[in-house]
Amino acid sequence: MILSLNEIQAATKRATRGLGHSWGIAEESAKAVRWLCGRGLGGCEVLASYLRETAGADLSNMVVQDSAGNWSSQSGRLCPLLSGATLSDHAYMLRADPIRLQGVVAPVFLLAFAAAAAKEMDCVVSVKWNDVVAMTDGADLWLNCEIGALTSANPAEVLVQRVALPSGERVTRHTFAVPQESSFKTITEFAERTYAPATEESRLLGAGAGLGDND
Amino acid sequence: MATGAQTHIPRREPGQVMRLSRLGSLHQSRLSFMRILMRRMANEEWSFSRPVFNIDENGVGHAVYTAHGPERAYSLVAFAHDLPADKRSDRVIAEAWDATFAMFDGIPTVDDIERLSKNVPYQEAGRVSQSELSLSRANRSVRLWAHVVEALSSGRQPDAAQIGDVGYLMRTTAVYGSGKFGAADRELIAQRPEMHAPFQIEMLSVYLTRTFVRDLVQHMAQAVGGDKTATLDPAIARRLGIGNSTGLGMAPFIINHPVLFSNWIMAREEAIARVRSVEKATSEEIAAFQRLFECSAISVALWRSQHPVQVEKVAGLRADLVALDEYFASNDLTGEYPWDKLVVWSQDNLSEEGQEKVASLILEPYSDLVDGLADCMGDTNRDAFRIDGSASVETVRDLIKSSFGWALELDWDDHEHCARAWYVSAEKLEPRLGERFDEPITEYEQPLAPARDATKAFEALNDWPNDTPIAAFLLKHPEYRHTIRRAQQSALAPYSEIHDNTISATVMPIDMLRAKLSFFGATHFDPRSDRWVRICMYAGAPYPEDLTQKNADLWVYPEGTL
Repeated sequence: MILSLNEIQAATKRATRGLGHSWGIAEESAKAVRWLCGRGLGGCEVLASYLRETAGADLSNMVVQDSAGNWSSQSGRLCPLLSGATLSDHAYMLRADPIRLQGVVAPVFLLAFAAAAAKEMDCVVSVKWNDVVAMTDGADLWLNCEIGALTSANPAEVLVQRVALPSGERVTRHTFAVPQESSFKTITEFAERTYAPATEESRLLGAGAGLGDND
Repeated sequence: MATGAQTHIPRREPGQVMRLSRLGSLHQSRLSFMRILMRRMANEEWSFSRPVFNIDENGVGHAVYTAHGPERAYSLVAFAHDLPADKRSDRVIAEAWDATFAMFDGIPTVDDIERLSKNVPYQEAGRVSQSELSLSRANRSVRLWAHVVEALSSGRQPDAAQIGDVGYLMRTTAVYGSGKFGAADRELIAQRPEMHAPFQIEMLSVYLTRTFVRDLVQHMAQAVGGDKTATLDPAIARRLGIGNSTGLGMAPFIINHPVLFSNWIMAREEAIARVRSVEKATSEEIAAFQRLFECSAISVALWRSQHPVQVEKVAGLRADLVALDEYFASNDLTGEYPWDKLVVWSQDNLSEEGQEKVASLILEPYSDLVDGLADCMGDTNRDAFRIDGSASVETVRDLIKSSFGWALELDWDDHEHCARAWYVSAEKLEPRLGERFDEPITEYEQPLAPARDATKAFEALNDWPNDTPIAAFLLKHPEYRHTIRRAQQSALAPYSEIHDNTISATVMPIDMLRAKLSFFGATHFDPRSDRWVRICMYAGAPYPEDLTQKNADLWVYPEGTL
């Protein structure tokens, strides 16, 4: 099914909250997935795989412990949303040094947060792991690898740094996405966790109607 | 914000403007979205056509109405249905309607219409495409529809009193825009000059819907009455607007779009400040104001509501109009800073309904000072979303204090202050407001209580040194990202936060609905409960074939012309 980016953003926000994140992280996840979809990177597939992989995990053990030195978590696995948000917050640190993140799950997410950092600093930021070299100025993305490499095995380390100029192939922008049915089903299932079950009482009271409309 | 006009009187403070009771008393103005659209269409000499009207004697079929602008055309594709009375519901859970619509980007082909006919009548259960810009539906006002068809088919004009009592033949029950159900995202059209101002597609959709409804009622009368059918008197047709029935679904919008909402309020407040700063009003400006003031009294006299709160507010407004009459008897507005004096006087002597009526009304004679602000009402600041991690804890604390200083002393554990919770129902995925202590909804709570959340974040910040970058705080407390983001946005968008408790035992969601609907340009707010409101749009407006620069703007005032 063809979905608008707004639909994907709305569903992502709910699904991320449904996984157990705060609303603030859910908002950032929604923007990130939208950003990825807008560059044809299968944002819904990335999100679905992340949701499956981290379902039931203690997310508080997947945060960056200390912003000094290499970034790592207590559990050895870094959440890409929590660490991505931390990356965006610490964009100013990239002026002096690269940032190294260890054990990031679904690192593709980091591209969207690197884009926020690049935009903030009005520069180009490069993100490298395994065979992946990606660069962004905030709006555009340049790849020096096959798209498939982005979603291969989770890497031991991701390197984020400023670069002078972008290189590689600039990816085409997209105004909608066509997620795989199974991916969107996963997203929808997690989103459903945020919905309160309806009761007859809530139907009448909660929506506030109750008067007839056949007038 | 556009500059150029000299103001020595500042915009009103957010602490005064952003109270729920005042937001729930706002009135339409020159900056209302439907008036912005009408002015543009008239100034650019848009033309209108009805290439298709294929509806049978039972009122079933489809029609196309196209608005041709200087660069692009937009078409309303309308489907008319034969709806059994027991299916007629304004609620979002309805599954069938009297009429359903899509706004098409351009002029639809036969294939487009065929595709839409398989989706639009099903609304949420169907899908549209990036060629569509909105999706909507409407239900008849059963009693007025029946009366008008019966009168016209008998060769008579409908009764003016009945027209006045209802005000519209159909009311829309949802107008979905930006990306909903597969439609094009707003981002795809926001760069078009005619779409810069907010909700222009939705306003155009409703405007063309009104024309369709007029044509449809005539068609249905003709089917019954044949040769003896009367043609609806254009003067009566013009009094008819389109109703709208809106529930809680709309209320969270102004909280969920803080920068956008701030831009709306800021534009209006800037306009008010500019006019208050006018040193001398010309005799033409005074005459124009007084004429529209008198027309406003007619409009207020026509305002009907059965809701006790609104009945009281309208009564207060009527008393305000009498007090204003007395004020004008001794103040002819020829002195220095007449509009500022009037606004200051209104703050001491009128209800909030009356104060906001005055604030909107003084803008009318000053198109040159006001209308350009329409370009500042969209949200183009995408960068405002990112948290600036380098900002200090002290800066963020100051921002929270500025919007929510009043909330920091409140005991948020007191049931009265947190009696309600906003949640989304599994049934229709729409926002609802529940009783936190009576229903199992807290774990599903939506982030629609910014004041409470800001208080919690403020308390957590107490343990952190002032000069710490907020990034360090957020590393340990990602749960406050939502609130910290809002606080930083408020630095750019001073009217972004409601200075009231949105989860208290006494909150009136209709105040939030009215704030938004007043910016659409709605009139005659008629609450059906504390969270459900009916309104009227475009009543008095010229139909497309009559639209001129002369009548594009002041139709909202009965008999009003400058």
